[in-house]
Order: sequence, then structure tokens, then C-alpha cells
Amino acid sequence: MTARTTARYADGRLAGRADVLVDADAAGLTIRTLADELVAHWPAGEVRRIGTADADGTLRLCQLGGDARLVVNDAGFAAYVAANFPRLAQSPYGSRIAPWKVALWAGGAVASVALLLFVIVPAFARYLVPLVPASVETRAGTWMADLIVTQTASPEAVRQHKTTCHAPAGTAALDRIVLTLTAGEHLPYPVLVTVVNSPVVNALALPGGRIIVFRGLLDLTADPNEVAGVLAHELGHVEYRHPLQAAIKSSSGGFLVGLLLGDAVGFSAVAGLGGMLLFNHYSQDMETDADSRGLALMHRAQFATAPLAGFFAKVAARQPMLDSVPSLLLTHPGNEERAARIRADTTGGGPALDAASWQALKAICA
Amino acid sequence: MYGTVDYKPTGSLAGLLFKNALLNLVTVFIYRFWAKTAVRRYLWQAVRLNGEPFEYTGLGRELLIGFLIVVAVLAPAALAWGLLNAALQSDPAVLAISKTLYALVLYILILAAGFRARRYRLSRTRWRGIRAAQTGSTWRYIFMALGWSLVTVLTFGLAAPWMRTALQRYRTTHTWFGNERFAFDAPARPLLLPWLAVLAAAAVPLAVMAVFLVPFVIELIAAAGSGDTAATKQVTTAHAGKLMLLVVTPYLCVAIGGVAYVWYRVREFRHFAAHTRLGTLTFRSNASGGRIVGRVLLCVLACLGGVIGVFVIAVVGAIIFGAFSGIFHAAGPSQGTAPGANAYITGIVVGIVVVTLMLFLFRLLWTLMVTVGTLRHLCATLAVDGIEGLDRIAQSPAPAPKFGEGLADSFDLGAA
Repeated sequence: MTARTTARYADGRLAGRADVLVDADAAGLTIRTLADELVAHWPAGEVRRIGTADADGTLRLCQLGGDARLVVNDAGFAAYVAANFPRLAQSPYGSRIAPWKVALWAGGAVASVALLLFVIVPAFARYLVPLVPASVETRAGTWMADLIVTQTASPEAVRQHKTTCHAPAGTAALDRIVLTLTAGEHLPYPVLVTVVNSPVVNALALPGGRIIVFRGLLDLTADPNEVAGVLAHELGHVEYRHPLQAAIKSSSGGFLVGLLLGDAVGFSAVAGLGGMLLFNHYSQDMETDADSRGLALMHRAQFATAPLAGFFAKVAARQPMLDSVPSLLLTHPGNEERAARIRADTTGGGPALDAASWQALKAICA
Repeated sequence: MYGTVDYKPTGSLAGLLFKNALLNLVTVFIYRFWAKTAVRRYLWQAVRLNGEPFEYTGLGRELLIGFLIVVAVLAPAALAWGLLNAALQSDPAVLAISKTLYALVLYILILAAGFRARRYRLSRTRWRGIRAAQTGSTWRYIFMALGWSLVTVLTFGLAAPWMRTALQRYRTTHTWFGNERFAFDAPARPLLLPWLAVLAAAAVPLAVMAVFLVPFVIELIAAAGSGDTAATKQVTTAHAGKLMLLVVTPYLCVAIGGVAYVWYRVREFRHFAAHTRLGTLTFRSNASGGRIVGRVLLCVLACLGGVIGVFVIAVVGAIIFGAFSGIFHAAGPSQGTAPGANAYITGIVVGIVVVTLMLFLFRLLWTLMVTVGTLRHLCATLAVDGIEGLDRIAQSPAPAPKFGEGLADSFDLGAA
């Protein structure tokens, strides 16, 4: 079985075209001039179609990676070619880049980004932190705190314009705990604790010495020292300026995600947000540091740490991983490990608040 | 002898764009290099000179590798600079220098990316098997562009036609089809009047503001200057409408200037086409600025309508949702997981999905209405004379650049 047709042929050396005779058989295409001189032979495995056929059936062919072009308009010939040259629809352009080169650069790019994200940026963030002026950090913290308060307050709290809790006796009790814990500390900025009227069971530290405690966490506490322990942990983060480090890491992550997704203009907002969600958390080391610092603060304040032991597990069991913001719970240094460390630490101490103040603190949102 | 130029696509572009979007989503946008390549194949093939289609021979993996090189090399540098900038916030002088330098480097990168991307695309363009090419030095082009940019800034934009003509001359005279080099002899001066029209159009809102708002601005400045915040507030509340007009004016300038600029670009295209030659080939364009402006406006209005529609739906949805969650809360104090945090996360996720979807639809609309519409119109209105010389053009001796566009990917430059 063979097929024959006349076609227009551009030889790839000149842009001009000539009429030619084309014979197709199992071996491939043989192209001859009208005077029957051989022009070219394309082996069957190397015949390729360029683009899609026109509406009138015009078909353009080439040899894999070649410069010459053949234009055919013959339905019978087209059918023969389609039936007999199985690689017709494959890419007509020889790959000019070896796959190993693609793999090499892909590996290089991934390694470069990974190195940035997991080594350089975290390391750099630590050195960068002392250079950021407290005023800049405080502004960022205020902005984040406002956002968190408006986004997490319960609907009825929003309706009653009571998104944060300020009952005077409760605030006084909270302030007393913080003052006792931070007495003699040299913090870069004053600590400001905000209680959000929200059922979220969590507490978190923000840049600029802002600490957010959600009502849900207060509701869950059964002992003033549990509250003090949580605050001490967050104060540990504040003292090491962890929230700023996390912010630097997450914005760098956002930048890299934006770059990887391409299109630095169009999707940058989406990509940035995605990066922040992915990278905005504390490392294991930071959590352990904050834990140790928190325990030290508890000791100095002579608050008993024993009531804390079961608390972290209680909180973790209560709330699955929901929050995307740096939190007490997200990068848990293993709640058992944590409890073990607290249990091992039995230096004694007293309650953080007397019974009356404790009741006032529990009722801070009332 | 006249040649014909047609836009005659095969297959559905909308279908291709939807398929690309789906594959992009599935592959976290890694597919975009192949998607771009497929769209270019489609568009190149649709444009026909004397009935013969152009051909795009680029490969997705070439774009990918160019991008990977940029990520591996440039990302660390850019990030380091960003972090350094953050660290330098304490010193305003150093910060100002650093920011200026950053903007300058970014500008240079955009220029380089544009020039290199054009080089790549031309090297992957064929007609009857003959390759196009771009020669010339990227650095030379960058220095030219920087020098002209400086002149343009110093002349308050008046030199822009000269800058655009000089750069177009460099690009065109370094463009080849096969062994034939393009020639370009357009003077810049005929573009001055159209360009002045653009500047004038952009200044219209300013002029209107000057007539209507000057007394108000004087009053406002006087009040603000006195340091009396109560007086300032009184002035602003008394003339809230005028204040709004004042705030809106710059945006109006940009919008009207933008529309005028599209019209200018069409005028410029006609002028440049008339002064471009390829061997015996000469070109004449009769493209209508009004038609292309009309398409751009229609697309922008459709997108604006879409944004307003989504906003209305979001507000109504929020009200309904709010009412429902209110009912749930009224039924009793909520137990279990925290609705506040849930709503927060859900809001972010829904926001990302909606924004992504909207961006996709806008791009779809833009490609179909503006890109394709403009291409179709430019083809239909382009006359090519001296086509008989085309047959004698021989294959390009220029070697093709190996890798893809790299940088251009992150700045979203160029064809579709």
C-alpha cells in the first residue's frame, strides 16, 4: 500500500517553494521534483505534522527537527499518513535540551529555595531582629492585633461592640500577673495583653510586645497558675522577639512562593498570603526556648508550675490545629514532652492570684 | 506585488485556555510553561502571510529551564536585598539609596527580560521553515533605554516618542528573517503630536479640578496650615463631594491617559510599520485606534462589572451567613471547636479561591477580546508589498538561544 500526491515543498534553505511529487510507503516519505529527481527521503518514524490541519484539510509536514516544510492538500494521502506514521502527532521539534540538564537545574532551583527558606532566612532573621527599631515592630504588632481581634471575636461580641474584654478587676488581676512575671526584665517595649472575646482556645504573641489571650482559653483554665504559665510562655517569645522573626520568615516565604508560582504581578497577593500561611510559625527550638524562659519567669515570680503539667495536653485535646497564626499549640514540642519537663521541675512556689482576683480574671469578659 | 495577511485560527482558543487553567491548577502552576507554549503555537499558526502560517517552535521545557536558572540564581539575591532593606529601616538616608538602587535594578531587569524574551520568541518563529532571529547586545539596549529614560524624565515626558522610536529602531534593525535584516527609518517627530494628545488627555481631569476645586484646595491648605484639626475637619466635611473628587482625580488621569495611550500605540504602530522594510518587503497599516480602544474599554467594563457583581454577591452572602450564624449562637452557647477561628480560615480560603478565579476569568476575557481582537484587526489592516522578494530569502545562519525567557516569566512580559 502506498499513496502519492503532489505538494508544495520549501526546502528549508530558501523561503521559496516548489511543486513536488510525494510518495508515501511503509518506509516513509519520498519527495521528488516534477522532473522525477530525488529531493529528500523522510523515514516513517521521523515524519511529523506541524500544528493542526486547516479546515480545508491542508496538512503541513516536516522531518523531526528539520528545516524543510511540506504542504499537502489531499484527503486520501492525509488518511494514509495518519494511518501509517504512528509518530505523526508527536512534537516536530527535536529537544534541544537534554533531560538531565532540566533535572539538574530543577534540583538546583529546589535546593536554592530550600536553603533560603530553611537555613538562610531563619538564620538571617535572628541577626536582622536587633536591627529593626522597636517603633516599626510595635506598629506591625498593632496592625496584626487589630486584624486578629476583628476577625476572631464572636459574632455577639461584635454586635455589642465588646470585641475585647476590659472588666476592671479582671484587667487588674491580669496586669498583676504580667507585672510580677516581668519584674526586673529588660524588654524592648512595654508588654500589652489583650483579651479577645472569642471562644478560640488559644494565646499568642505578636511583634512589638502584644500578647493576645482568647476568652476560650481563660474559660478552660481551672487554676490561676495555668494562665500565668501561658502568659510566661508568650512572654518568653516576646523577650526573644520571636514574633518578628516569624514575620520576617513568613514574608520571605510569601515572596518565594510568589516567585515559584511565577507572575510576580498577577497572583502576588494570593501567593503572598499562601506563603504566610505556610511559613508563619515558630520553630521547635523557638518553642523550647519560650518554654524554658517561661518556666524561669514562673520560678522568679514564685508561681508554682505543677498545675501547668496537664494543661497543655488539655488544650491540645480541646482544639485541633485550627489557627494559622503563631500560636501556643501549633508547633507543639510534643505535649507529653512538655508535661514531663514541667513535672520534672518541682521547685515549688505559690498561686499566681488569690481566690478573689482569680474569680475577677475569669469574669473579665462578663 | 501585494501579499495577504490573515488571522485564520484552527480550533478553539477558549477551550485551550480552559484546559490550560485546569492543568495549571492540578500542577500548582508548573504547567504554565507548556500552557504558554500551546497558546503561542495557536496564535502563531493563526497568523498567515500569503496563506502560509507562522510557526512557533519553542518548547515548554525551554521556558521551564530559563525560569529554573532565574530561581536558582536570582531569588537568593533578591531576597537578600529585601531582608537588607528591612534591616535598614532605621536609617532613612541609607534606606532611600537602597530603595532607589532596588528600583533601578528592577527596571534594568525588566528591560533585559523584555529584550531577551523577544530574542527567544523570534528564534522560535518560522515561516516556511525559515527562522527569524534577533541579534544585538542586551547591555547596549539597556544603556540606550536608561539614557533615553533619563532624557524623558528630564523633559517631563516630551522625549518619549524619541525614546520609543530609538528603541524600536534598535530592536527592528537587529531583527532578521532568515538571512535578511529588517530596516527601519522612522523619524520620531510625527509622533510628537499624538503623544502630546495623550499628555493633554491625561491632564484633562487636572484642568477640571483646577477650575472647580482650587478655592476648596486653598481653603483646605489654609485650614491644615493653621494646625487647627477641628477647622480642617469642618472644611472636609462641608465639602465631602469635592474632597472625593480631589482623591479620585489622579485615578481619572491614569484612566484617561491609559485609554489615550492605547490609541497612541496604534498610531505609532502605523507609523513604524510604514517605515519598516525587509528586503523588498514594505508594510502599510491602516489599523484603527478607535476600534482597539473600544475593545480595551469593553473588556475593562466587563471586568469592572464582574468585580461589582462579586462584591454584591459577597455582601449579600455575608449578610445571609451572618444571620444564620446569629441564629446558631442564639440557640445556645456554642460548644466544641471555635467558630471564630473557623470563619477566619474559611474567609481566607474562600478569598483566595475567588480572587484566583476572578483573575483567571479576567485574563481569559482579556486574551479573547483584546489580544486576539487586536491581532485580528492588525492582520486585517496590514498591507504587505514587494512579496516577490520573499522567496529569495535564505535560512538564518544565526544560532538559536538555548534557554527560555526566565526572567520574563516573573514579570509577565510578552505574547499571551
